[in-house]
Amino acid sequence: MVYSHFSYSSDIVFGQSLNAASDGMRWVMTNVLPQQMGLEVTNVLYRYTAVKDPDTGMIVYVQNEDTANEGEYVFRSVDDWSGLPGNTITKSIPVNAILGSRFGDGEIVVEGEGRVDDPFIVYSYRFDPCFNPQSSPDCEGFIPPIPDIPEVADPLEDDYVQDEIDRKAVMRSEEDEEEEREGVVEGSEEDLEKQMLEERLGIAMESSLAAMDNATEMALANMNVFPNSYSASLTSPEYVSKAYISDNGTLVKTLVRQSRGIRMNNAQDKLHRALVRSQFER
Amino acid sequence: MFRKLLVCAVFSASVAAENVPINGTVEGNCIVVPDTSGVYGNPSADVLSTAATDGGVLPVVRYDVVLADYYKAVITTPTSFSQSPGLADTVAWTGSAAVHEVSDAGMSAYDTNKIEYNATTEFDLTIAGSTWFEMESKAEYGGDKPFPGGNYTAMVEANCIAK
Amino acid sequence: MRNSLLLLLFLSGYASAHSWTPTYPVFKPSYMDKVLETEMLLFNKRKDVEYFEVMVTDEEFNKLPFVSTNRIYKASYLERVKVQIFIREEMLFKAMYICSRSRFLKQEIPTNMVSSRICSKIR
Repeated sequence: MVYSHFSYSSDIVFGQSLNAASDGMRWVMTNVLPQQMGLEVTNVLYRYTAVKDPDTGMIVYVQNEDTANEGEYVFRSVDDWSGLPGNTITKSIPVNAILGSRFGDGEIVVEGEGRVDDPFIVYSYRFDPCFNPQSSPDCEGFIPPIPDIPEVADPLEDDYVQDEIDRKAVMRSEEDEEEEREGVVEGSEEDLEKQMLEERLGIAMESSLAAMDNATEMALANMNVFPNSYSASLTSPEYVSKAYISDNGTLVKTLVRQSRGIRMNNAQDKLHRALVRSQFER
Repeated sequence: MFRKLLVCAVFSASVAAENVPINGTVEGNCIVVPDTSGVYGNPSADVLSTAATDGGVLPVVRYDVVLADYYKAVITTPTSFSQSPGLADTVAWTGSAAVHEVSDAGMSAYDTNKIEYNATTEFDLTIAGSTWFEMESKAEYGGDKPFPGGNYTAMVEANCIAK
Repeated sequence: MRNSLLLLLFLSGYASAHSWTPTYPVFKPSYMDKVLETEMLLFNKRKDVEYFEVMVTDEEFNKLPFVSTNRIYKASYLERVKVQIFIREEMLFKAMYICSRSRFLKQEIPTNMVSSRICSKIR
């Protein structure tokens, strides 16, 4: 059993519950009123038929417990049928905008001889949907929530990580130094072979390129695209197309790696990184 | 060096407030409201009746009184048709009114204290609030003849008389 | 074969009424000699009725002569109409009630067959 219908009037929502006594003579208000902050009950309407002997005494109480004051009632209506014939009664009782949260369990209590048939109890209420401005972005006073920005830890700031990087850099530099020292002794023949291979490839490439150029030139000459002066020989000295240095690896042998230089380089890198990071530190 | 002195007069606006009274009086008032339409059932050819057992619907009228003991309800059930086909014979009318629903338990006593005469029932409205009255009406065509076919309309007079 | 009968006592689908105040009107001398006047207020809350008959009656509800702007006043839905009633001084002892009664136009098919009459008692 929930609230039945409501209407809007500017920002206030008015509504009316369904029959609270549809399931019996006792009802729980959380099943009757909508669970809205700031909801106020404005009116209670009830109807029932008292069935009794006209000569007997009978008193009917329609009431709601007060959640703020134990043992008391926030709403109570008394109908004294004593000495009267039974009849159907309809009552509409305005309530002074009492908070719905104060309405505890409701009940119809019969004292004396007689019974109550067809009970019908309806609560009229009103509430402001923006009673809590944070309930909707359309509410006045709504403050958009600030998202939590997670703190990202820069692993490079960690001293242990930096030390490890430095240690590895130093180890690598020593390893490279060792490898290259060995490579210079054993790999000179390989270097020579590489150079010769490069020469051959370069010559081959140059030949194929030259052949292509010649073919293209001949085709264009046949088409009379180029003037005769284009193909005239120049009086300039011989033009060397390729220059290389052949030192049989002596140049490489003369190059000696300086470990001190490596260390200095690493230290400078480290300092540089520290300087860069310091710009972003707060 | 002379200095110019500026003198400013400050004018303050005074807010004038007026009390505007709203007057009203609570005086006795009686409102008659038709609540439920009645329908004649036709249990037999010569009888028209609003009783539920005869297939009819009891009409209900509500009386709203603002002040207690200012008015009395005088309800007269029909004694003739306001609209009907031509009737060659007389029609015998009976009717009554009773309390149907109340807004105060004490109004149940209206039925006990009502005064009936002819086709009229008087209720003393001694309690402020709303009281619903239901009426029974029955028409019997004379000579056991069947009612001719057509539309039949009868009027209930619901009066609220100041005491 | 029984003929079908359409029987209506009255039709009503909604609450409607009219009010007639004050409950106890008082007649006072008017600008004319030996003529008394009083003022009544008619408020129509009936959508189906627009005309109301005004009458002055004795204790037995027999009509008495009186003067007013009209005998039948037109009051639209939710309209208030002031009704001035003039009677002779000698009629004051016989007059007991000033009543207003709802009236239907003949050519209109009435949707509500309740004739409501409210009577105020002359003090």
